[in-house]
Amino acid sequence: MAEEVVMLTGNHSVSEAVKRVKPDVIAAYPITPQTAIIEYLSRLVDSGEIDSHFLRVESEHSALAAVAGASWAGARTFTATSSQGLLYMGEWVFWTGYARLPVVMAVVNRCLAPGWSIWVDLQDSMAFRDAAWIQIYNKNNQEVFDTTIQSYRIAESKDIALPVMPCLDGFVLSHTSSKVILSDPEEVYNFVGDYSDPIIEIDTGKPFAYGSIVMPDKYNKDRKDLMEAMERAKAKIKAVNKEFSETFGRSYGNGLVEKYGDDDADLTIVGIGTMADETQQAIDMLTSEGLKVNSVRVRTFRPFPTEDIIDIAKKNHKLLVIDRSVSFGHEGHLQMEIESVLKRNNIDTPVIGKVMGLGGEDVPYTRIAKVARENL
Amino acid sequence: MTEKEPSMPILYPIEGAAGLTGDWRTQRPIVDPEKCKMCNICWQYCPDLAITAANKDENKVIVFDYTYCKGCGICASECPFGAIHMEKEVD
Amino acid sequence: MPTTLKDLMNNPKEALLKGHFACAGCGSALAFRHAIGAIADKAVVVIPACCTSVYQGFGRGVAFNVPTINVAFASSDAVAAGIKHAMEKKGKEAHVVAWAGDGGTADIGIATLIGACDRQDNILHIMYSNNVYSNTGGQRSGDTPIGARTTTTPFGNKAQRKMVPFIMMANNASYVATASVAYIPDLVDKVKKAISYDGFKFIEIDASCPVAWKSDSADSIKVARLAVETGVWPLFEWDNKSNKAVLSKRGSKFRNKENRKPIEEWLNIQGRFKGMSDEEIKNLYADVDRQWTFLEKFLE
Repeated sequence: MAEEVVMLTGNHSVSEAVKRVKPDVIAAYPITPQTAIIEYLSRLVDSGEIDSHFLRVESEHSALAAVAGASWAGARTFTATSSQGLLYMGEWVFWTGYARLPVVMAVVNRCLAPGWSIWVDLQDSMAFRDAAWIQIYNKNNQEVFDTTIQSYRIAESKDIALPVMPCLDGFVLSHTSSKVILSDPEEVYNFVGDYSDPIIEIDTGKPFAYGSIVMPDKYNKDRKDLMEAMERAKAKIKAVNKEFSETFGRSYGNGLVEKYGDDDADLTIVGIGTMADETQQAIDMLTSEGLKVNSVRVRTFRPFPTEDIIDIAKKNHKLLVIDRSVSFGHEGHLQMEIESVLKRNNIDTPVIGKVMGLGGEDVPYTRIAKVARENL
Repeated sequence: MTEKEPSMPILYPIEGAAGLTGDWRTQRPIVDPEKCKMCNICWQYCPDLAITAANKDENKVIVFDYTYCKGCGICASECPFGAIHMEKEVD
Repeated sequence: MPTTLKDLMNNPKEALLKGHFACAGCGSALAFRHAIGAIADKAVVVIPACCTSVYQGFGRGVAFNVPTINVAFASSDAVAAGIKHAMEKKGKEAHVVAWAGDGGTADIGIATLIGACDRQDNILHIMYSNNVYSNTGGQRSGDTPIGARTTTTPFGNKAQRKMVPFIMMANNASYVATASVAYIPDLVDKVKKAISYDGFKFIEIDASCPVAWKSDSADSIKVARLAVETGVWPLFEWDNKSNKAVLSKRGSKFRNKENRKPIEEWLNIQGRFKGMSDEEIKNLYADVDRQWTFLEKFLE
């Protein structure tokens, strides 16, 4: 067994990562565009290639419930979903986050109905930004593989103990093949460890009750601890990104944000996911026209990279934030969060927000460049 | 150095989780030791484990735990020998 | 060897501790005491929203001396299955029990229940039924009998009763049984028997609720006994290998209608049936007949 270089879809990049971390229990329900992830994993389980238990549950709600159950019992777990499935398991998304269970769930981003569509936007995972999950958005299949592995290191750290959502754009990544370096299984397993000292486990000889009624003082104590863990997660994500780079030779900005182009630009285009990656081609195009434009891809949306956004706003002159999701009644999610960070820190760098790409709308770099030119 | 552990909503088993539930009573069971035949059917049916079973070698009559007895009256109703009756709590 | 009253005193430890939050005369608490008590040393209990999740206790500590995981309403069996799989993978022995009311089992929880049954997840589901959503004040559930006055059927429930054990038989659970708080050794026998099977096991317990049933708390056992003696609640066991139902010793004579007490004896000590018309009583008798007709197909 060694490192392999293959042409692989985003979905299978997830499965190959999960295969290497050796989860104990997987439970999943199919939904387009996630299905290939779990089909691949079920084949690996049934053929005996991996020694995991796979529950073919009857709904997404039961999928995350089963995975949470296994996690309470001290197991390493995995599940995946998209769109309506993420909504259907909605109460369990909050439950898992609040319960501090180190679950890893790949979310293949897909827009919400109605109208019924299977194509990408980020409304599904954005709807759960309040659910106490770490959210890491990926730009290509290599990063999907790498982030899925890193997610276990982050989630299973006792000083973090929060579930992680590695997100990948539906169809654009999930179903599109590109070159992926699949790291050596043993090296990957050593990187994540064996989770032999779990955050929580069930012992029939040491009974406790988890999640019975709590009074406000205890409830607030747990929430405060959760907020502090989210705060610590920023440093953890950066550290894991760095260690991953030292082990496997690949890294993504500082783990929280990835910059492209020179500082002190007249316009900085900020975005998430493949649209932010596409933006780099727009930057190349605009730079060749003599314009001073750079870009930032927000890789980690939760916890929000406040310090990095402050730094970027101070070093540049105007931000053009392109969202692929929107909070109806207000603005795009990334835009709102950036504006609030700047205001709170008395930074007057102007912010322009655009919502593009909903419902899988194609956003090629030429269009991004056009919007940039209009807002310089 | 110990890693910080997450603060979780966990509680442990204790007697009296609801406090002194005997305070809920408006009536209390009284047993007539002459009539108690140590069948322990009342012990079996008490939802609150507020009865110590009678034992022919030790306590030859059932004993009520008034700290926790809620005064439901099941024991009095089920005793085949009419050995238990319910009395109103005074204060 | 069938369990005797004396055997009940020999549990390795108590599952239910004194001073819990259940109402005076609660059938569910009594059932938990003995059902989980019988398997207390290795039990892990998963509890969705229901009375039990409240009477467990709060604030300072809990009244359950077994590992207890409280979960979202519609998912008890999925969580139990996840726990069981994880513990099996780790080589740890556990009797994982999903302990739920009628709502969490068979209304909002029906998908998770049947899903786990289909997969034959190696867990035991115990449904304690007080025939309403008692925890939220006593609204009608799928398990409410015809004629019962509940907070959402103030003039009498008209809908048929759900007959959950038969649903489990149709879904090929490995073991299905009905039990009653009036017959504790029988209940404990069934729990012990259930855990000896592999696959998905199901027991429904008729658990008196003096609050929702508007009965005297002292009558909690009496009313459960009358449910069996009137034929309203048949006591039986079934397994998928034999595909045969066997009436339990304490309830077998009530197969014969002539041996049954009139249903009115059961109705009259419960305020929830006050004001029932003759028409409603007739419909209730018919619904009881419906379940015996189904059961007869599986009896010798």
